[in-house]
Amino acid sequence: MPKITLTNVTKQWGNFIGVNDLNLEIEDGAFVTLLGSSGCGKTTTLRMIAGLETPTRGEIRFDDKIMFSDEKNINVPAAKREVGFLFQNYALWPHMTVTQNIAFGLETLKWKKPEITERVKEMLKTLRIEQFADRYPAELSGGQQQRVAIARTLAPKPKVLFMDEPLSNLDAKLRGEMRTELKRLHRDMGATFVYVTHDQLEAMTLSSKICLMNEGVLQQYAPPLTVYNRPSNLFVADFVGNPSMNIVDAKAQKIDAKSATIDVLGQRVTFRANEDFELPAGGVCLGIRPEFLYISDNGAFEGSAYSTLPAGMETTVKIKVGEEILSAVMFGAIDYETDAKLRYDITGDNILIFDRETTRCIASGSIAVG
Amino acid sequence: MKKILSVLIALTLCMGLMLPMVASAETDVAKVIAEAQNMTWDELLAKAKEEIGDGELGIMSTTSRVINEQSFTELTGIKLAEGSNPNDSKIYELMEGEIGAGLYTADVILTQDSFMLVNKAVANGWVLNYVPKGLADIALESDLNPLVCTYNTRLFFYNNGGNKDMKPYTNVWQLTEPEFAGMEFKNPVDEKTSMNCLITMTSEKYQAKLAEAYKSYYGKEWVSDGTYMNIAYEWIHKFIMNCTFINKDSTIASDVAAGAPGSSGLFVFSKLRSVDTANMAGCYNDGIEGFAGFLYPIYIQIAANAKYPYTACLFVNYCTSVNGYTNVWGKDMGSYSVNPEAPISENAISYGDQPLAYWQDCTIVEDPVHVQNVYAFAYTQIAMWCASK
Amino acid sequence: MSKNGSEGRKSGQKLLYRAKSYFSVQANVLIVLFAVLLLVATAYPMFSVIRSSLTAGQMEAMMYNSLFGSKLKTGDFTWLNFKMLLTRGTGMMADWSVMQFWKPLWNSLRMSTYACLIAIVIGGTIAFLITRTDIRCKKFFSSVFIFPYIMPSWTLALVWKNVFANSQVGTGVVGMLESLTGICVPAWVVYGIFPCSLVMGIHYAPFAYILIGGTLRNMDANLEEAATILQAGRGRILRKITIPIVMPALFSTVLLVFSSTMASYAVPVFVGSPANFFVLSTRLRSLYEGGIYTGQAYVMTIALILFGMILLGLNTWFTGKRKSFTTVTGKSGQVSYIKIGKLNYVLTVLLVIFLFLISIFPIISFALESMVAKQGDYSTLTLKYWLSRTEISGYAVAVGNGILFNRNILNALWGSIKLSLIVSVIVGSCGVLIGYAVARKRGTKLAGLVSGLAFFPYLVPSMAFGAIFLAVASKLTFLRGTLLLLIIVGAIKYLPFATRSGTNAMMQLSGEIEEAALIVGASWPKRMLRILFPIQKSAFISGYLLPFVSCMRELSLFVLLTKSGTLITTLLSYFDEKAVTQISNGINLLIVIIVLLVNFTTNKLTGASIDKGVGGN
Repeated sequence: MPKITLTNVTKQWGNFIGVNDLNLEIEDGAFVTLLGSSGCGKTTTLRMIAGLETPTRGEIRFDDKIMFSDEKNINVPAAKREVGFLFQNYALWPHMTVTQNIAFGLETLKWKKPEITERVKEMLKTLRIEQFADRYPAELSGGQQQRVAIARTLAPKPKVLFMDEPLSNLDAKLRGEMRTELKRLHRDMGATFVYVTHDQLEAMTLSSKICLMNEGVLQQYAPPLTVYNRPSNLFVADFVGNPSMNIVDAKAQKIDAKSATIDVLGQRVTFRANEDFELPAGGVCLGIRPEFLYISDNGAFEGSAYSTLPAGMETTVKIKVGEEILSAVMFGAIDYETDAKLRYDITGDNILIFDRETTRCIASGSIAVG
Repeated sequence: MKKILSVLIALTLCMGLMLPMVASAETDVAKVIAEAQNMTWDELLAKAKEEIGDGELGIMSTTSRVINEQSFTELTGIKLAEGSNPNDSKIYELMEGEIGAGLYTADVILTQDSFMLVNKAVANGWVLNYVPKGLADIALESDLNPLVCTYNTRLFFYNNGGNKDMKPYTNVWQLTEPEFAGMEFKNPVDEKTSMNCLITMTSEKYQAKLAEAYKSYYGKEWVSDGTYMNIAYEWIHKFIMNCTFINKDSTIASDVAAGAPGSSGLFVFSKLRSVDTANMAGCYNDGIEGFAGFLYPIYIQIAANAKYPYTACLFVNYCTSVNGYTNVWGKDMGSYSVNPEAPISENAISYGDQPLAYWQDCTIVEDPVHVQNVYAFAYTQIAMWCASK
Repeated sequence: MSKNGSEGRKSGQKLLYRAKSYFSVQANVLIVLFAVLLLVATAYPMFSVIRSSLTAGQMEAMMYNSLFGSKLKTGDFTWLNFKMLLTRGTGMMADWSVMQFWKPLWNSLRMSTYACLIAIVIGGTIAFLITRTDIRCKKFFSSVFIFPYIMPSWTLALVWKNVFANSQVGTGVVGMLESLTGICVPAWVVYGIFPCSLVMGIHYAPFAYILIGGTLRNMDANLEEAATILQAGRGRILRKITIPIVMPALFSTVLLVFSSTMASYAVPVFVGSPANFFVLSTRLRSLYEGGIYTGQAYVMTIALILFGMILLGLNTWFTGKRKSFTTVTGKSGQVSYIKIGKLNYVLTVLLVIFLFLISIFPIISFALESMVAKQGDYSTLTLKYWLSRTEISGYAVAVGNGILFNRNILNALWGSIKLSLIVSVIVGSCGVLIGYAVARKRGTKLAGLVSGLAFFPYLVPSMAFGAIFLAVASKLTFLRGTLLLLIIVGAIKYLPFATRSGTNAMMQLSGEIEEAALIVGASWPKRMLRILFPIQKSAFISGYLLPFVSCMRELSLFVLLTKSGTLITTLLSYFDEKAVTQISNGINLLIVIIVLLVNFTTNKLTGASIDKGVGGN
């Protein structure tokens, strides 16, 4: 099982930079998600690692073996990298049956006939598609096609498995099921998974590490909870989490190394950080996760109910404060009348302060009124 | 890959080396012809047989008659290669592309259009002239260089609806009048023998004939009003504007044969073979005033790079002999040997055909000298009129 | 110094590495290979056309020296070809340019425009009826409607003439219509621009049908349904939704029909020139074959090519600009057929009659003409022209036995089939490869160049093409008179057809399909043979069919390059010239039947068909 290392990898088309100077280390056996909105360079990165795309500059290594290096003039073709690739549109071959689709790669790798039959059977069983063995892809539903595609990809026992938004064509329910199975598969196979998605929930739930990208630049590479709790900048903070983090303008004045007075949402509060920090010259803003806004009749802050979105288990309440609209998530089904006045508190010890200019996260801490 | 490439290169080189060899053969052909001109049939036959052995004589001809002609082989035992029968323009194109590039294309070439023959094929030395011994004594001197093989007739025909006495027109000037519009005729730009005959009409000899017919029809002398250079141009212009261009002689023949009484066309005599002639009549026996049609030569030449020059001479000899003419052309009408001793056949006579001398008198005979003299102006002028229909 | 040297070496190595890695991708190899091949194969003809138009030929030098007092020698550079053909002269030659060039050009443009309109109206109507209404006998219609394209264009012209000729026109030969009904149609119906445009339009209507029908069939019905929900009327939907969506197909049709009609020669000669209707291609042929003003013929060739290029440019510009329109979802769920109700019967019957006239009747008429001893007299029916085992007499030339027992005819037929097969295999395969390369490299300049160049041979008139390669063969002598030469010429000339279908088919395949095989280590040939080709099998095989058909009935391309007995078409033209009517009609029938048979069998075996080759789906 290899460790994948990307060093200063850049992909350029003419003047357009697809991926900019990317450094990444994917540990052996990890489940890494490349996350970002469309056009952020995540798919390009994946394809470069798989060998389907040639980087303009940089170096890609599987363990100590160089797969690509522009300095050393090395470019190992995709076929020789011994990787599996699961395509967004499955790319099943329409003229082959399910069995043939799965067996093709094994034949190419010159497996022996009985071994192929054995392995195909095994894969059909693992993915619970035995009854479709002799069907053509066109005769299968989307979910079944997806399973066939996975079976085909896994059949040659790749050490690394690349997946390019494999669940985006499925409906919500199926997607949920497949997520569960993918995570199990990862555990069972012990292989390295590199997974591309634009769905932050998918990234959060599946991966051991998230690599969040924007416009070709790496934003943060960390375990999901770190990304959630301590986003490295405003972009990450905004991208991860649903509903998104509330970002509000604030005025801060240092008290001591770990605390400051902050004017926010019409109140003066004291911010107590978990670590030492410095205030930047260009001003700050506050990042508050929706779950840290707690609505209660004796809350310190005041607003009005803009809209209430109950989802059964929890309810998202949009609170209007001045010109800003904040999201709050409450457990259970609650309903507020539109425009009704309400009061709330900012709770929790993970309130974030961002540098407004550099968008960097400066510190996390808790807020006390007064 | 490398191997194939080197073989290819070697092959190309070999081909390249062969070029000068072919070129040097030219002078040999000329020598042989000079020699053959004084040989009798038997002497030539012996030389030819020795020369060709098991080979085959190549013939390229504008007329299909001599292609694959069995009688020559029967008489001499010499085999003919599968002949090619392209039209005239292709023959000149092939001569330029092949003989011109030093490549063998055929031994004997039969072609029409004196202008192109003289100015292209002869001028570039692609063909050489050979006159069989004895022919010079009996044939017209003007037919000897380049040597004419046969003359052919292209005549005015009309549909008489079965009425033998019907004569829709008796004077060529009628053909310039509106009521005779629609005579079918092959565009002379596409049919160079017709073009050459039209150009020949502008010679003084035919101007006189036209003037005579003009006077007879209109009852007055032709006087130039400055529009036309001479009377021939007036006739040509008005005739061209009056007729309908059809692209094939055989179509014209069948159109007239199946058409309404009074419809007419100008096409080669020999096409009568392939249509129903019940209602068809020609004006040649009616004494049409002016002329009854065109008479044009088919030339026979030897390729300057002929493989078998003696055999080629023998073939020319055969084609211009009485025996050869009878075997090859004799059955049908419309072709007349350059050899005045060769008679036309009974079958031809039954269609109203006449000996060459008759046609020389009542048709426009392509005159290579006159054509050569006025070609640039006359050709362009006539082509211009043909285009302005 | 040494530092520079080592840096130079380094950058050299870098370059070498770049090249090596570039060419390790097959699509790159192919695109470069075909770019080079096509450049050679098209640049040479173009170069020689231009050179010929700018030099004084031997005859031209003579003519110009005599007419204009120039002092040209053979082979000298001169503008006179252009000047005399394109600009107003003086004296006798005042109108030369008008009569030889501008008027025929105007006629060509008119004829081609009308032919386009007719092809689109007929083909589009039938495509609409078949794909969008519940009209009956769809299968029959769509298979029979291809016939006019399969048959040489002039056959329809000949049939036209045989049907409508009457005692009031020309020499008064009575045609079928008059002899059956006594109706004499006016002269302009029989000869002139009307029949020329109509015949060309009908001949190319299958193009329109195939291209427009393909788009209509693949068009998501939702698009129309969405409009229906917005309560748009049928007419409005047609105008605002359907027509804009089939626009690219219309443009492709216009491109193909217009340039084909501009270059067509036989039809205007048959039914145009008797009414003094002359077009650029007939003038070109006259001047070219006349052997005098050949340089001017090449100027005309350039004009024809230019028009083709302008159209091609407009076409790519247009389809490029509206690329989003051509995206076809591929799944047109439930197509709602328009119910034409009572009209169904009427339209079906009308369509049957129409298709009978343009598709079946010509074949019957060939069959009849090949079996009557005396033209037009059907009491003289005989099978001897087909079955006689002895020499058939009564012709001006020796023809041999009846068609089916005639060694020469069968040899020539085999020659044509052999040539067509080889050409179609080469061209079809190149089409697949070019399609692959262009699809993989789509958007790059090189891909644009290759697909543009591959279309170029379509624009060069066959006649000029033949002449150019005669000249090539006189330099590369080992090619002369060989099958190889015919194969090369045919392959280049018909490449556009296969490239079209190959590119269309490859464009429809997503790159992932191939990458899925690449990632498991399937070699490039294996990916092509096991994955890509089988998936688009029918489209690719169609790319093999079209060159086969065209090659089987091609004459002017090959006539200069081979003897008359080698190919069935050259033999046919020989018999035709010698008025061997029955046999030439029989040979015609034979060609049509063989092509239909090949099309039918291929269709049954592989699902491919000519319509798919033209770009339909």
